[in-house]
Amino acid sequence: MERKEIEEKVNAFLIDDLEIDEENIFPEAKLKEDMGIDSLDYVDIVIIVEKNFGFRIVAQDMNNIKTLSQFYDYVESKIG
Amino acid sequence: MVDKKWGGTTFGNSLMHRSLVGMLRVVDPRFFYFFTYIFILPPCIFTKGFRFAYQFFRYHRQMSPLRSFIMAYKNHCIFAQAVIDKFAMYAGRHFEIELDGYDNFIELSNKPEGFVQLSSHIGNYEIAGYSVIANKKRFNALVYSDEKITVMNNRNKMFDNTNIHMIPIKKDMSHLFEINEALSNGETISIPADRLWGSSKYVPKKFLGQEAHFPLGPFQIVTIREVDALIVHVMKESHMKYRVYITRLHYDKNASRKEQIEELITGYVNELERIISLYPTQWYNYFDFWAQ
Repeated sequence: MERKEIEEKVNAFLIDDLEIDEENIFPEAKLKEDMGIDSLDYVDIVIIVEKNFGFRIVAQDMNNIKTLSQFYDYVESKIG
Repeated sequence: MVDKKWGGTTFGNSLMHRSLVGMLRVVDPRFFYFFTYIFILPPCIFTKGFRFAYQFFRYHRQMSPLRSFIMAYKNHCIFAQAVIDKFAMYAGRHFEIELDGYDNFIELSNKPEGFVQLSSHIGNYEIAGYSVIANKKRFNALVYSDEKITVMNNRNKMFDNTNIHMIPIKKDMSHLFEINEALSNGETISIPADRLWGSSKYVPKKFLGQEAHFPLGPFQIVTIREVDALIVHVMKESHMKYRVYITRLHYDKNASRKEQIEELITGYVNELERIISLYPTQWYNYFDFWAQ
């Protein structure tokens, strides 16, 4: 899957499922501070990622992901 | 929300706990009940917890000032007895348990999918909540990780070699991932649904005549994973006897997430109100539950 497609899919579920405002979605956006994602949202993200990208996020991985760009990088690294 | 974060930890230090367990191995717990009636009032009457208990009976059960005071005193005595019962259980003592709605549990435990058991800080869940388990499904209970070490050790010892697994709440939120993993593996998760744990997101709901804030987390987990849910309450009926109420929580899995959560919370609050009306002295949320 191309990087652009990954970004589009991620952005789509952030807007549709997590109801994050589109204006808060940009690569440098911090997941917690800018997008308001909290611990409970991570459960949503784990399931949505599993459905869309076919792999399961582990807790330790999320500790190192602070921005949306890092999250794109993470997904890209997992699906090769 | 104010002061509704889950800070559940048992009073006393490790030595006191170990001593109590040791004594309860040889002394009938009812002997200790006697002391709760005498020693509760002086130290507790001036505590915040007693004040909140009084306010609960006065303003949410519409009782007179005198009756509210008496009920708050009874409430504290029964709470102390519930704690004694917990340690009696660690000491190997057994309680008579009656099950109400056990068929609801059997129905879900026979399915391959996981399900959620919601509880509240009323009654004494630990006495029998962990007994309502299915041999074929691993049972995971969310617990407060800062609980006193003796309580954790006693729990672990009791549940060693059983199908019961404790998931401590952690600052890194890894417990949420564990919960998700357990449900996707077809296991059972037990979660208290009347206090915050980890996320500050809440759902406002009228409860006993006034709006209260209930944590979104437990209900959202049910809907995210599209699993079934039960409410389990374990209430003290008399000395050494408890009744377990197991109620199925229904929601439309085809409705929107918001509607599903509303249905779940409504069902949960209705059941909580019903149980509180039957056992008003077993409400143990000693803080301003209705604080906005």
